[in-house]
Amino acid sequence: MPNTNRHLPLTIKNLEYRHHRSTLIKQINLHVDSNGNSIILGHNGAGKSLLLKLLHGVINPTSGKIEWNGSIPASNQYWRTLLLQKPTFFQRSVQYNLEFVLHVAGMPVAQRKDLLQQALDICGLTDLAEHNANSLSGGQQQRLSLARAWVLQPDVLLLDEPTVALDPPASQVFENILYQFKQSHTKVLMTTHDLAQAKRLADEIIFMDKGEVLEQRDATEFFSAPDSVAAQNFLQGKLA
Amino acid sequence: MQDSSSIFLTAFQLIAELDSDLVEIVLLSLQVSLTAVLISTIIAIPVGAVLGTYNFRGRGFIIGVLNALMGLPPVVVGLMLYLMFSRSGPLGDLNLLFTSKAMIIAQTILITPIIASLTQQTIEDLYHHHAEQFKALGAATHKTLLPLLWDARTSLFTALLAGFGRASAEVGAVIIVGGNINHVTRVMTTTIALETSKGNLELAMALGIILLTISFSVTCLMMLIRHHQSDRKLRLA
Repeated sequence: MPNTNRHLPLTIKNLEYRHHRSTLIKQINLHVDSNGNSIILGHNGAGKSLLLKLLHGVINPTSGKIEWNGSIPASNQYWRTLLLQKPTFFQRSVQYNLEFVLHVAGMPVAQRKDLLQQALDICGLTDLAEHNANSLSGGQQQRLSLARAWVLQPDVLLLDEPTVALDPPASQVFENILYQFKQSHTKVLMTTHDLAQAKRLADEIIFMDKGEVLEQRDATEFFSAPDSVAAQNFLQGKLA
Repeated sequence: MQDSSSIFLTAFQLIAELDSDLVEIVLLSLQVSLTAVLISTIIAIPVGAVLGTYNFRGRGFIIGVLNALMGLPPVVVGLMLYLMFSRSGPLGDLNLLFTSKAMIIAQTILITPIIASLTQQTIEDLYHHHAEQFKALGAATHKTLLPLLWDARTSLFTALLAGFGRASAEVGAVIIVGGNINHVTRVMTTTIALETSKGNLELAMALGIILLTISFSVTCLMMLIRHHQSDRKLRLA
Protein backbone atom coordinates (compact mmCIF):
# COMPACT_ATOMS: atom_id res chain seq x y z
CA MET A 1 0.00 0.00 0.00
CA PRO A 2 1.26 3.53 -0.69
CA ASN A 3 2.62 5.60 2.16
CA THR A 4 1.74 8.97 0.65
CA ASN A 5 -1.41 9.66 -1.25
CA ARG A 6 -0.35 10.94 -4.64
CA HIS A 7 -3.87 11.72 -5.78
CA LEU A 8 -5.06 13.95 -2.96
CA PRO A 9 -6.24 16.51 -2.19
CA LEU A 10 -9.50 16.11 -4.03
CA THR A 11 -10.90 19.44 -5.17
CA ILE A 12 -14.45 19.73 -6.44
CA LYS A 13 -15.38 23.00 -8.11
CA ASN A 14 -18.94 24.06 -8.92
CA LEU A 15 -19.99 20.49 -9.56
CA GLU A 16 -23.44 20.07 -11.01
CA TYR A 17 -25.30 17.09 -12.41
CA ARG A 18 -28.63 17.38 -14.15
CA HIS A 19 -30.83 14.57 -15.38
CA HIS A 20 -34.19 15.01 -17.14
CA ARG A 21 -34.42 18.69 -16.18
CA SER A 22 -33.83 17.96 -12.47
CA THR A 23 -30.64 19.19 -10.86
CA LEU A 24 -29.57 16.26 -8.72
CA ILE A 25 -26.19 17.67 -7.66
CA LYS A 26 -26.16 21.41 -7.05
CA GLN A 27 -23.01 23.51 -7.24
CA ILE A 28 -20.85 21.41 -4.96
CA ASN A 29 -17.51 22.82 -3.86
CA LEU A 30 -15.34 20.61 -1.70
CA HIS A 31 -11.76 20.17 -0.69
CA VAL A 32 -10.93 16.73 0.69
CA ASP A 33 -7.43 16.00 1.91
CA SER A 34 -5.75 12.73 2.71
CA ASN A 35 -6.32 12.75 6.45
CA GLY A 36 -8.58 10.01 7.74
CA ASN A 37 -11.92 8.66 6.60
CA SER A 38 -14.45 11.01 5.06
CA ILE A 39 -18.01 9.84 5.54
CA ILE A 40 -20.76 11.29 3.38
CA LEU A 41 -23.96 11.44 5.39
CA GLY A 42 -27.47 12.28 4.33
CA HIS A 43 -30.98 11.00 3.75
CA ASN A 44 -31.88 8.75 0.82
CA GLY A 45 -31.97 10.87 -2.32
CA ALA A 46 -29.53 13.44 -0.94
CA GLY A 47 -27.16 12.73 -3.83
CA LYS A 48 -24.52 10.75 -1.92
CA SER A 49 -24.29 7.83 -4.35
CA LEU A 50 -24.38 10.17 -7.34
CA LEU A 51 -21.49 12.15 -5.90
CA LEU A 52 -19.43 8.96 -5.55
CA LYS A 53 -20.23 7.93 -9.11
CA LEU A 54 -19.18 11.37 -10.34
CA LEU A 55 -15.95 11.11 -8.35
CA HIS A 56 -15.20 7.70 -9.84
CA GLY A 57 -15.99 8.85 -13.37
CA VAL A 58 -18.82 6.35 -13.83
CA ILE A 59 -20.99 9.30 -14.85
CA ASN A 60 -19.91 12.68 -16.15
CA PRO A 61 -20.89 15.96 -14.50
CA THR A 62 -23.11 18.42 -16.37
CA SER A 63 -20.76 21.18 -15.30
CA GLY A 64 -17.93 21.79 -12.86
CA LYS A 65 -14.60 20.12 -12.21
CA ILE A 66 -13.28 17.24 -10.17
CA GLU A 67 -9.53 17.45 -9.65
CA TRP A 68 -7.40 14.84 -7.96
CA ASN A 69 -4.23 16.55 -6.79
CA GLY A 70 -4.72 19.27 -9.38
CA SER A 71 -5.38 17.10 -12.40
CA ILE A 72 -8.43 15.60 -14.06
CA PRO A 73 -7.63 11.94 -14.64
CA ALA A 74 -9.33 9.77 -17.21
CA SER A 75 -11.86 7.19 -16.09
CA ASN A 76 -10.64 3.58 -15.64
CA GLN A 77 -7.95 4.63 -13.19
CA TYR A 78 -7.07 1.83 -10.84
CA TRP A 79 -5.67 3.99 -8.05
CA ARG A 80 -9.25 4.61 -7.05
CA THR A 81 -11.99 2.05 -6.87
CA LEU A 82 -15.69 2.07 -6.13
CA LEU A 83 -17.54 -0.48 -4.04
CA LEU A 84 -21.19 -0.76 -4.91
CA GLN A 85 -24.11 -1.34 -2.60
CA LYS A 86 -25.01 -4.43 -4.59
CA PRO A 87 -21.82 -5.84 -6.08
CA THR A 88 -22.09 -8.45 -8.82
CA PHE A 89 -19.76 -11.37 -9.46
CA PHE A 90 -19.11 -13.90 -12.18
CA GLN A 91 -20.52 -17.39 -11.61
CA ARG A 92 -17.01 -18.49 -10.77
CA SER A 93 -14.84 -19.01 -7.73
CA VAL A 94 -13.87 -16.26 -5.31
CA GLN A 95 -10.31 -16.64 -6.57
CA TYR A 96 -11.34 -16.24 -10.22
CA ASN A 97 -13.26 -13.06 -9.43
CA LEU A 98 -10.11 -11.61 -7.86
CA GLU A 99 -7.93 -12.80 -10.73
CA PHE A 100 -10.29 -11.09 -13.15
CA VAL A 101 -9.74 -7.72 -11.44
CA LEU A 102 -5.97 -8.24 -11.50
CA HIS A 103 -6.18 -9.04 -15.20
CA VAL A 104 -8.43 -6.07 -15.95
CA ALA A 105 -6.14 -3.68 -14.10
CA GLY A 106 -3.11 -5.12 -15.88
CA MET A 107 -1.26 -5.85 -12.63
CA PRO A 108 2.22 -7.28 -13.24
CA VAL A 109 1.92 -11.08 -13.31
CA ALA A 110 4.72 -11.48 -10.78
CA GLN A 111 2.74 -9.53 -8.16
CA ARG A 112 -0.61 -11.15 -8.74
CA LYS A 113 -0.18 -14.26 -6.58
CA ASP A 114 0.96 -12.29 -3.54
CA LEU A 115 -1.75 -9.66 -3.89
CA LEU A 116 -4.39 -12.33 -4.26
CA GLN A 117 -3.26 -14.23 -1.17
CA GLN A 118 -2.97 -11.00 0.80
CA ALA A 119 -6.52 -9.97 -0.16
CA LEU A 120 -7.92 -13.41 0.72
CA ASP A 121 -6.18 -13.35 4.12
CA ILE A 122 -7.10 -9.79 5.06
CA CYS A 123 -10.72 -10.24 4.04
CA GLY A 124 -11.02 -13.66 5.70
CA LEU A 125 -11.78 -15.46 2.46
CA THR A 126 -8.88 -17.93 2.27
CA ASP A 127 -11.11 -20.92 3.12
CA LEU A 128 -13.71 -19.75 0.61
CA ALA A 129 -11.29 -19.19 -2.29
CA GLU A 130 -12.70 -22.09 -4.32
CA HIS A 131 -16.36 -21.36 -3.53
CA ASN A 132 -18.67 -19.88 -6.14
CA ALA A 133 -18.79 -16.14 -5.45
CA ASN A 134 -22.56 -16.07 -5.89
CA SER A 135 -23.06 -18.76 -3.25
CA LEU A 136 -21.54 -16.54 -0.54
CA SER A 137 -23.62 -14.73 2.07
CA GLY A 138 -24.20 -10.96 1.80
CA GLY A 139 -21.45 -10.25 4.31
CA GLN A 140 -18.99 -12.55 2.56
CA GLN A 141 -19.83 -10.95 -0.78
CA GLN A 142 -19.09 -7.48 0.58
CA ARG A 143 -15.80 -8.85 1.93
CA LEU A 144 -15.06 -10.20 -1.53
CA SER A 145 -15.87 -6.76 -2.86
CA LEU A 146 -13.29 -5.33 -0.44
CA ALA A 147 -10.82 -8.02 -1.51
CA ARG A 148 -11.34 -6.91 -5.13
CA ALA A 149 -10.46 -3.41 -3.99
CA TRP A 150 -7.44 -4.62 -2.01
CA VAL A 151 -5.81 -6.35 -4.98
CA LEU A 152 -5.88 -3.02 -6.82
CA GLN A 153 -3.92 -1.33 -4.02
CA PRO A 154 -6.00 1.82 -4.38
CA ASP A 155 -5.01 5.25 -3.09
CA VAL A 156 -8.69 6.14 -2.82
CA LEU A 157 -11.51 3.79 -1.88
CA LEU A 158 -15.05 4.97 -2.60
CA LEU A 159 -17.80 2.98 -0.89
CA ASP A 160 -21.49 3.35 -1.60
CA GLU A 161 -23.44 2.22 1.49
CA PRO A 162 -21.64 -1.12 1.49
CA THR A 163 -23.14 -2.43 4.73
CA VAL A 164 -26.74 -1.41 4.13
CA ALA A 165 -27.90 -5.03 3.81
CA LEU A 166 -25.61 -6.50 6.47
CA ASP A 167 -26.40 -7.48 10.04
CA PRO A 168 -24.32 -5.91 12.87
CA PRO A 169 -21.73 -8.75 13.17
CA ALA A 170 -21.13 -8.73 9.40
CA SER A 171 -20.88 -4.93 9.44
CA GLN A 172 -18.35 -5.17 12.27
CA VAL A 173 -16.16 -7.56 10.26
CA PHE A 174 -16.47 -5.24 7.27
CA GLU A 175 -15.43 -2.22 9.32
CA ASN A 176 -12.42 -4.11 10.69
CA ILE A 177 -11.24 -4.78 7.15
CA LEU A 178 -11.87 -1.16 6.26
CA TYR A 179 -9.56 -0.23 9.11
CA GLN A 180 -6.80 -2.18 7.34
CA PHE A 181 -7.23 0.08 4.33
CA LYS A 182 -6.92 3.15 6.53
CA GLN A 183 -3.78 1.69 8.11
CA SER A 184 -2.40 1.29 4.61
CA HIS A 185 -2.97 5.00 3.90
CA THR A 186 -5.88 4.45 1.55
CA LYS A 187 -8.24 7.40 1.62
CA VAL A 188 -11.76 6.17 2.40
CA LEU A 189 -14.76 8.11 1.11
CA MET A 190 -17.92 6.32 2.12
CA THR A 191 -21.62 7.08 2.01
CA THR A 192 -23.96 5.89 4.71
CA HIS A 193 -27.10 6.89 6.53
CA ASP A 194 -26.18 4.71 9.51
CA LEU A 195 -25.28 7.21 12.21
CA ALA A 196 -23.68 4.69 14.55
CA GLN A 197 -21.41 3.48 11.77
CA ALA A 198 -20.54 7.04 10.77
CA LYS A 199 -19.56 7.80 14.38
CA ARG A 200 -17.32 4.72 14.49
CA LEU A 201 -15.59 5.31 11.19
CA ALA A 202 -15.55 9.01 10.43
CA ASP A 203 -12.73 11.44 10.88
CA GLU A 204 -14.58 13.94 8.74
CA ILE A 205 -18.27 14.27 7.85
CA ILE A 206 -19.60 15.62 4.59
CA PHE A 207 -23.31 16.18 5.09
CA MET A 208 -25.54 16.30 2.01
CA ASP A 209 -29.14 17.27 1.59
CA LYS A 210 -31.15 17.58 -1.64
CA GLY A 211 -28.08 17.50 -3.85
CA GLU A 212 -26.12 20.06 -1.86
CA VAL A 213 -23.24 19.77 0.57
CA LEU A 214 -24.41 21.60 3.66
CA GLU A 215 -21.52 20.80 5.96
CA GLN A 216 -17.99 19.49 5.83
CA ARG A 217 -16.53 19.25 9.29
CA ASP A 218 -14.51 17.27 11.74
CA ALA A 219 -16.66 14.30 12.80
CA THR A 220 -16.60 15.03 16.55
CA GLU A 221 -17.63 18.62 15.98
CA PHE A 222 -20.35 17.62 13.57
CA PHE A 223 -21.93 15.10 15.91
CA SER A 224 -21.77 17.44 18.92
CA ALA A 225 -23.08 20.58 17.21
CA PRO A 226 -24.18 20.41 13.59
CA ASP A 227 -24.59 23.79 11.92
CA SER A 228 -27.42 23.25 9.49
CA VAL A 229 -31.03 22.62 10.43
CA ALA A 230 -31.15 19.67 8.03
CA ALA A 231 -28.19 18.03 9.79
CA GLN A 232 -29.71 18.71 13.19
CA ASN A 233 -32.95 17.06 12.04
CA PHE A 234 -31.02 14.17 10.56
CA LEU A 235 -29.11 13.53 13.78
CA GLN A 236 -32.34 13.72 15.78
CA GLY A 237 -33.97 11.25 13.44
CA LYS A 238 -36.55 13.74 12.23
CA LEU A 239 -37.97 13.39 8.74
CA ALA A 240 -36.42 15.69 6.17
CA MET B 1 -51.54 -49.51 -49.94
CA GLN B 2 -50.16 -51.24 -46.86
CA ASP B 3 -51.84 -50.76 -43.53
CA SER B 4 -50.13 -48.47 -41.11
CA SER B 5 -49.31 -51.16 -38.52
CA SER B 6 -47.23 -53.14 -41.01
CA ILE B 7 -45.48 -49.92 -42.06
CA PHE B 8 -44.56 -49.18 -38.45
CA LEU B 9 -43.46 -52.79 -37.90
CA THR B 10 -41.18 -52.80 -40.94
CA ALA B 11 -39.86 -49.35 -40.01
CA PHE B 12 -38.87 -50.57 -36.55
CA GLN B 13 -37.31 -53.67 -38.11
CA LEU B 14 -35.17 -51.48 -40.38
CA ILE B 15 -34.01 -49.53 -37.35
CA ALA B 16 -33.39 -52.63 -35.23
CA GLU B 17 -31.45 -54.35 -38.01
CA LEU B 18 -29.40 -51.19 -38.58
CA ASP B 19 -30.24 -51.25 -42.28
CA SER B 20 -27.14 -50.08 -44.14
CA ASP B 21 -28.99 -47.50 -46.30
CA LEU B 22 -30.72 -46.15 -43.24
CA VAL B 23 -27.50 -45.88 -41.24
CA GLU B 24 -25.73 -44.17 -44.14
CA ILE B 25 -28.51 -41.57 -44.44
CA VAL B 26 -28.62 -40.92 -40.69
CA LEU B 27 -24.84 -40.56 -40.46
CA LEU B 28 -24.71 -38.16 -43.42
CA SER B 29 -27.55 -36.12 -41.90
CA LEU B 30 -25.74 -35.87 -38.59
CA GLN B 31 -22.46 -35.04 -40.29
CA VAL B 32 -24.04 -32.24 -42.34
CA SER B 33 -26.03 -30.74 -39.48
CA LEU B 34 -23.29 -30.99 -36.85
CA THR B 35 -20.74 -29.43 -39.23
CA ALA B 36 -23.20 -26.60 -39.96
CA VAL B 37 -23.69 -26.06 -36.21
CA LEU B 38 -19.91 -26.04 -35.67
CA ILE B 39 -19.33 -23.43 -38.41
CA SER B 40 -22.28 -21.35 -37.21
CA THR B 41 -20.95 -21.44 -33.67
CA ILE B 42 -17.60 -20.08 -34.79
CA ILE B 43 -19.33 -17.22 -36.63
CA ALA B 44 -22.41 -16.56 -34.49
CA ILE B 45 -21.05 -16.63 -30.94
CA PRO B 46 -18.48 -13.82 -31.45
CA VAL B 47 -20.98 -11.80 -33.51
CA GLY B 48 -23.67 -12.23 -30.84
CA ALA B 49 -21.23 -11.43 -28.03
CA VAL B 50 -20.07 -8.21 -29.70
CA LEU B 51 -23.65 -7.15 -30.48
CA GLY B 52 -24.64 -7.91 -26.90
CA THR B 53 -21.93 -5.80 -25.30
CA TYR B 54 -20.85 -2.98 -27.63
CA ASN B 55 -22.87 0.06 -28.58
CA PHE B 56 -22.07 1.28 -32.06
CA ARG B 57 -23.76 2.92 -35.01
CA GLY B 58 -25.86 0.43 -36.93
CA ARG B 59 -26.07 -2.05 -34.06
CA GLY B 60 -29.87 -1.86 -33.92
CA PHE B 61 -30.06 -2.36 -37.67
CA ILE B 62 -27.82 -5.46 -37.53
CA ILE B 63 -29.88 -6.93 -34.68
CA GLY B 64 -33.04 -6.22 -36.65
CA VAL B 65 -31.62 -7.95 -39.73
CA LEU B 66 -30.51 -10.95 -37.64
CA ASN B 67 -33.97 -11.26 -36.11
CA ALA B 68 -35.55 -11.04 -39.55
CA LEU B 69 -33.15 -13.68 -40.88
CA MET B 70 -34.24 -16.07 -38.14
CA GLY B 71 -37.35 -16.67 -40.19
CA LEU B 72 -35.48 -17.01 -43.50
CA PRO B 73 -37.44 -19.30 -45.87
CA PRO B 74 -35.21 -22.34 -46.52
CA VAL B 75 -36.35 -22.75 -50.13
CA VAL B 76 -35.29 -19.18 -50.90
CA VAL B 77 -31.86 -19.85 -49.40
CA GLY B 78 -31.69 -23.04 -51.45
CA LEU B 79 -32.66 -21.18 -54.61
CA MET B 80 -30.10 -18.39 -54.05
CA LEU B 81 -27.33 -20.91 -53.41
CA TYR B 82 -28.42 -22.94 -56.43
CA LEU B 83 -28.06 -19.85 -58.62
CA MET B 84 -24.64 -19.08 -57.14
CA PHE B 85 -23.28 -22.63 -57.34
CA SER B 86 -24.76 -23.60 -60.71
CA ARG B 87 -22.29 -23.80 -63.62
CA SER B 88 -23.23 -20.36 -64.90
CA GLY B 89 -23.33 -18.84 -61.41
CA PRO B 90 -20.59 -16.67 -59.84
CA LEU B 91 -19.32 -19.60 -57.71
CA GLY B 92 -19.90 -22.29 -60.32
CA ASP B 93 -16.18 -23.08 -60.60
CA LEU B 94 -16.16 -24.37 -57.05
CA ASN B 95 -18.27 -27.38 -58.13
CA LEU B 96 -20.24 -27.33 -54.91
CA LEU B 97 -23.70 -27.94 -56.32
CA PHE B 98 -25.14 -31.34 -55.38
CA THR B 99 -22.50 -31.98 -52.75
CA SER B 100 -22.80 -32.30 -48.99
CA LYS B 101 -20.67 -29.14 -48.71
CA ALA B 102 -23.43 -27.13 -50.39
CA MET B 103 -25.90 -28.60 -47.91
CA ILE B 104 -23.65 -27.59 -45.00
CA ILE B 105 -23.43 -24.06 -46.40
CA ALA B 106 -27.22 -23.87 -46.74
CA GLN B 107 -27.81 -25.06 -43.20
CA THR B 108 -25.10 -22.73 -41.87
CA ILE B 109 -26.82 -19.75 -43.51
CA LEU B 110 -30.13 -20.79 -41.99
CA ILE B 111 -28.97 -21.34 -38.41
CA THR B 112 -26.26 -18.68 -37.98
CA PRO B 113 -28.81 -15.86 -37.43
CA ILE B 114 -30.65 -18.01 -34.87
CA ILE B 115 -27.53 -18.75 -32.82
CA ALA B 116 -26.20 -15.17 -33.18
CA SER B 117 -29.49 -13.65 -32.13
CA LEU B 118 -29.92 -15.93 -29.12
CA THR B 119 -26.29 -15.28 -28.11
CA GLN B 120 -26.80 -11.52 -28.42
CA GLN B 121 -29.89 -11.60 -26.19
CA THR B 122 -28.21 -13.79 -23.56
CA ILE B 123 -24.97 -11.81 -23.43
CA GLU B 124 -26.78 -8.46 -23.45
CA ASP B 125 -28.88 -9.46 -20.42
CA LEU B 126 -25.79 -10.66 -18.58
CA TYR B 127 -23.80 -7.55 -19.51
CA HIS B 128 -26.58 -5.29 -18.21
CA HIS B 129 -26.57 -7.25 -14.97
CA HIS B 130 -22.86 -6.49 -14.50
CA ALA B 131 -22.68 -3.11 -16.29
CA GLU B 132 -22.41 -0.90 -13.21
CA GLN B 133 -19.91 -3.26 -11.60
CA PHE B 134 -17.76 -3.27 -14.74
CA LYS B 135 -17.77 0.52 -14.71
CA ALA B 136 -16.87 0.58 -11.02
CA LEU B 137 -13.99 -1.82 -11.67
CA GLY B 138 -12.90 0.05 -14.78
CA ALA B 139 -13.19 -3.16 -16.80
CA ALA B 140 -12.85 -2.59 -20.55
CA THR B 141 -15.62 -4.37 -22.46
CA HIS B 142 -13.27 -6.60 -24.44
CA LYS B 143 -11.84 -8.00 -21.21
CA THR B 144 -15.31 -8.99 -20.00
CA LEU B 145 -16.33 -10.97 -23.09
CA LEU B 146 -14.76 -14.34 -22.29
CA PRO B 147 -15.93 -14.45 -18.67
CA LEU B 148 -19.43 -13.45 -19.80
CA LEU B 149 -19.48 -16.17 -22.45
CA TRP B 150 -18.35 -18.70 -19.86
CA ASP B 151 -21.07 -17.60 -17.42
CA ALA B 152 -23.64 -17.89 -20.20
CA ARG B 153 -22.41 -21.28 -21.40
CA THR B 154 -25.55 -23.26 -20.58
CA SER B 155 -27.81 -20.74 -22.30
CA LEU B 156 -25.46 -20.68 -25.26
CA PHE B 157 -25.51 -24.47 -25.44
CA THR B 158 -29.29 -24.41 -25.68
CA ALA B 159 -28.92 -21.87 -28.51
CA LEU B 160 -26.67 -24.37 -30.30
CA LEU B 161 -29.23 -27.12 -29.72
CA ALA B 162 -31.94 -24.87 -31.18
CA GLY B 163 -29.68 -24.38 -34.21
CA PHE B 164 -29.09 -28.11 -34.51
CA GLY B 165 -32.83 -28.76 -34.24
CA ARG B 166 -33.53 -26.35 -37.08
CA ALA B 167 -30.69 -27.72 -39.22
CA SER B 168 -31.58 -31.38 -38.83
CA ALA B 169 -35.27 -30.76 -39.61
CA GLU B 170 -34.51 -28.66 -42.67
CA VAL B 171 -35.59 -29.95 -46.08
CA GLY B 172 -36.27 -27.11 -48.55
CA ALA B 173 -32.75 -25.77 -48.98
CA VAL B 174 -30.84 -29.05 -48.85
CA ILE B 175 -33.03 -30.75 -51.42
CA ILE B 176 -32.35 -27.90 -53.88
CA VAL B 177 -28.57 -27.61 -53.36
CA GLY B 178 -27.96 -31.27 -52.50
CA GLY B 179 -30.15 -32.79 -55.16
CA ASN B 180 -31.04 -35.78 -52.96
CA ILE B 181 -28.53 -38.04 -54.76
CA ASN B 182 -28.43 -41.59 -53.44
CA HIS B 183 -25.30 -42.37 -51.37
CA VAL B 184 -24.05 -38.79 -51.89
CA THR B 185 -26.45 -36.14 -50.61
CA ARG B 186 -29.41 -38.06 -49.33
CA VAL B 187 -30.27 -37.00 -45.80
CA MET B 188 -33.18 -37.94 -43.55
CA THR B 189 -35.56 -35.16 -44.47
CA THR B 190 -35.02 -35.34 -48.22
CA THR B 191 -35.23 -39.13 -48.18
CA ILE B 192 -38.53 -39.00 -46.30
CA ALA B 193 -39.92 -36.64 -48.95
CA LEU B 194 -38.64 -38.81 -51.80
CA GLU B 195 -39.57 -42.22 -50.40
CA THR B 196 -43.05 -41.03 -49.46
CA SER B 197 -43.65 -39.84 -53.01
CA LYS B 198 -42.40 -43.23 -54.27
CA GLY B 199 -44.65 -45.12 -51.87
CA ASN B 200 -41.73 -46.66 -49.96
CA LEU B 201 -43.29 -45.73 -46.67
CA GLU B 202 -41.29 -48.15 -44.46
CA LEU B 203 -37.94 -46.41 -45.01
CA ALA B 204 -39.62 -43.00 -44.79
CA MET B 205 -41.27 -44.00 -41.52
CA ALA B 206 -38.03 -45.44 -40.08
CA LEU B 207 -36.25 -42.16 -40.85
CA GLY B 208 -39.20 -40.19 -39.46
CA ILE B 209 -38.96 -42.11 -36.20
CA ILE B 210 -35.22 -41.41 -35.96
CA LEU B 211 -35.74 -37.73 -36.80
CA LEU B 212 -38.44 -37.45 -34.17
CA THR B 213 -36.21 -39.20 -31.64
CA ILE B 214 -33.40 -36.73 -32.37
CA SER B 215 -35.80 -33.80 -32.15
CA PHE B 216 -37.27 -35.03 -28.83
CA SER B 217 -33.79 -35.74 -27.46
CA VAL B 218 -32.67 -32.21 -28.32
CA THR B 219 -35.79 -30.73 -26.69
CA CYS B 220 -35.34 -32.90 -23.58
CA LEU B 221 -31.69 -31.88 -23.35
CA MET B 222 -32.67 -28.20 -23.59
CA MET B 223 -35.27 -28.66 -20.85
CA LEU B 224 -32.77 -30.50 -18.65
CA ILE B 225 -30.25 -27.69 -19.07
CA ARG B 226 -32.86 -25.03 -18.26
CA HIS B 227 -33.99 -27.03 -15.23
CA HIS B 228 -30.38 -27.39 -14.06
CA GLN B 229 -29.87 -23.65 -14.60
CA SER B 230 -32.93 -22.56 -12.60
CA ASP B 231 -32.04 -25.09 -9.91
CA ARG B 232 -28.58 -23.58 -9.68
CA LYS B 233 -29.97 -20.03 -9.51
CA LEU B 234 -32.25 -21.09 -6.65
CA ARG B 235 -29.33 -22.67 -4.81
CA LEU B 236 -27.26 -19.51 -5.22
CA ALA B 237 -30.07 -17.13 -4.28
